[in-house]
Amino acid sequence: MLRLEGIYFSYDRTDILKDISFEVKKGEFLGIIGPNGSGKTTLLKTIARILNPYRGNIFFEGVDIKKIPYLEYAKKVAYLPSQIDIPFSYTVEEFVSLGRFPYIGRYGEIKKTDREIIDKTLEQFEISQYRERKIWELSDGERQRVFISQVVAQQSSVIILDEPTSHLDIGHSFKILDIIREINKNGTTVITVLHELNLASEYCSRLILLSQGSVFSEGTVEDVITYQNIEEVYKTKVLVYKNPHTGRPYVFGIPSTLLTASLSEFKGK
Amino acid sequence: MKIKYTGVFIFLVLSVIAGLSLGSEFYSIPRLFSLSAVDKNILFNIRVPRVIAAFIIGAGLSVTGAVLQAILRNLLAESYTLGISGGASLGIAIGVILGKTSLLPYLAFLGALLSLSIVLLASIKKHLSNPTVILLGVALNFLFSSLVLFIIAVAKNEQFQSTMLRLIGDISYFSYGILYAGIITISILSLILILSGRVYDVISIGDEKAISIGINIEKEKRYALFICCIIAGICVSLGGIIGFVGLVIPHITRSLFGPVHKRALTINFITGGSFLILADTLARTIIRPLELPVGVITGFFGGIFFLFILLRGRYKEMW
Repeated sequence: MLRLEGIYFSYDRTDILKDISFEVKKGEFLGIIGPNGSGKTTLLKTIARILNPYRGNIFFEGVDIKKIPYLEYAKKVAYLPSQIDIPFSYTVEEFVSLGRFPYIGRYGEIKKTDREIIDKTLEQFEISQYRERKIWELSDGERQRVFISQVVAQQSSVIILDEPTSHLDIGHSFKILDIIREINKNGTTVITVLHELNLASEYCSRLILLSQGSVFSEGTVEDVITYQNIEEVYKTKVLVYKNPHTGRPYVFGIPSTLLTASLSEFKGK
Repeated sequence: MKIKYTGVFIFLVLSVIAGLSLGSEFYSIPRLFSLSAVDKNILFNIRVPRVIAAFIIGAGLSVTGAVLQAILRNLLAESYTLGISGGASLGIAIGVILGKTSLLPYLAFLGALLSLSIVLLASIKKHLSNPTVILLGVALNFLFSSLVLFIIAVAKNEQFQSTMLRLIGDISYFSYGILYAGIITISILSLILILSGRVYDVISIGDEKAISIGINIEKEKRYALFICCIIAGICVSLGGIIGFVGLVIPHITRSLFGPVHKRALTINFITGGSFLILADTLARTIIRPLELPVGVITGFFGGIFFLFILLRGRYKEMW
C-alpha cells in the first residue's frame, strides 16, 4: 500500500532520517518505536507529506505521493500530530466535521452522508454527548478522543498517529487503542508511533524500531522487542517477559540503583 | 441563535440611524422624512457617503482581522497590530508627495504588502512567538508612522499636510472615486473570504493538520494575505490608520457566534461596519461642533480591550 524507498531527511545538514526503506501492507497495525530523537515523528511527517525528504521516494499504491494533489492525498492518508493547539474554541462537532473537508471542499455544504459519518464516529468514540461542548472544556482523555475521531471521520485508507496515548492514563490509553484496533479490524491501515513499548507490543501487528534515524530492527513484535534490541537502542538494562494472558513480550525497566546493588552482590560472590 | 442574529440586524439599523441623524446638525427621525433642500444637501452629500465609508472600512478591517487571526493562529493579529496599516499609510504619504493621487490605493497596497512581508519573513526566519510577532508589527507601525510624520513636516505644503494628517484615522474627507471602487472591491473580496471560510477553519487548527486534511497551505495563506493587503490598503486610503477595529470586533463576534468562519466572517462584516459608523458618529458629536478623528475613538476603546486580552494571560483559551 505504502512504500518508502531510501528516505533521507535533514533540517539543517545533520540527517534526521537516513536511508529508510520499508513497506506498509494493507490492513496492518504498524508500530514505530525508538528512543527520543530517533526520528519517529519526522518519519511520520514525511509519510503525511508535511516534510519533504531530500532524497528517496514514497509511493502510495505505486504512485509517487508528490504527484498526488493534496485533497486527493487527504482521502488516502490522515495524520494526527502529537500535539494540537487550537486558538479558537470550536465545539466537538464543528471540530470533527473539519475531517470531512476533503469530501466537502472549499465551497460545498455538509451533506447527509457526512452527517451520518460524523455521528457514527462520535458514537464510536463515546463523545456524542459532548457534541455541543467546546473542546477546551473537555478533559485530556476526552479531547484526545475528539482529535482521533476527526482523523477517523476523514475516512482515509491509512491513518497515521503520533503518540495517540501521550499524557493519558492507563485507562484512557487502552480505551483509545481499543477503538483504533476496531477501526483497524474494519480495514483501515494504522501507522502509529507509540512511546510506551508495552502498549506497542500489545496492539501492533508489526513493529519498526528506529535508532538514530535508521531502521534498527523490523518485524513481528517478538522479533523486535527482545532485551538485546531494547538494551542496545535505548542504552538501558531491561528484562523482557511474556504477558501471561496475551503472550506478547513485556518490557520491565531496571532502576540503576538496583543494577549496581545486584552487580556488587554478584562481585561479592 | 435567532435572537443573536436579530440583535446584529438591530445594531446595524440603529447605527445607521445614529450615523445619519447625529452630528453638528441633529436630524430627528421625523425630520429625516421631511427634509428641506439644504438638509438634503447635507444629508446626501456629506452624511450618507460618510456613513457608507465608515461601514465599508469597518467591515473590511474586521473581516481581514478575523482572517489574519485564523491563518496566523494569533489572536492579537489585525492589520493595525501587524504593521500593515502603517505600511499602507507610508505608501499614501509617498504618493501624495509625488502628486500621484490617482495611484494612492495601489501605493497603499504596496506599502501594506511590504510591511506584512517584513513581519512574516522575520517571524518565519527567527521562529518568533505570537506576541513577539505583534511586537514586531507594532514597532514597524511606529517606524512607518514616524516616517509619515517626517514627510508631513518636510512637505511644507498645507494641502499635503492636511491630506496626510488624515492618515491618523479620519473619515471626514475622502475621494468619491476611491469610495465607489472601495465599496465594490471590499465587498467582493470579503465575499470571497467568507465563501472560503471552511479553509480558514481548517488552517486555524494548525499547519500540520491543515496539510493532512488536504489544504495547500502555502498557496492558501499567500492568497488570503494578498486579499487582506488589498482590503487594508483601501481602508487606509479611505480613512487612514484606524486601529483595533479588526481586533475587537472579531473577538466579540467569536465569543457570541462561535469561531466557524463562514458564519463569523459574515457577522464580522456587518458588526464591524456598524461599529465604525457608531465610532465615527461619536467622534463627530462628542466635542461638537468640533470633530475628533475616528482613530481616537477606536484607539481608546480598542486599546483598553487589547490590554485586557494581553493581561488575561491565557488569552489562547479565552474564547
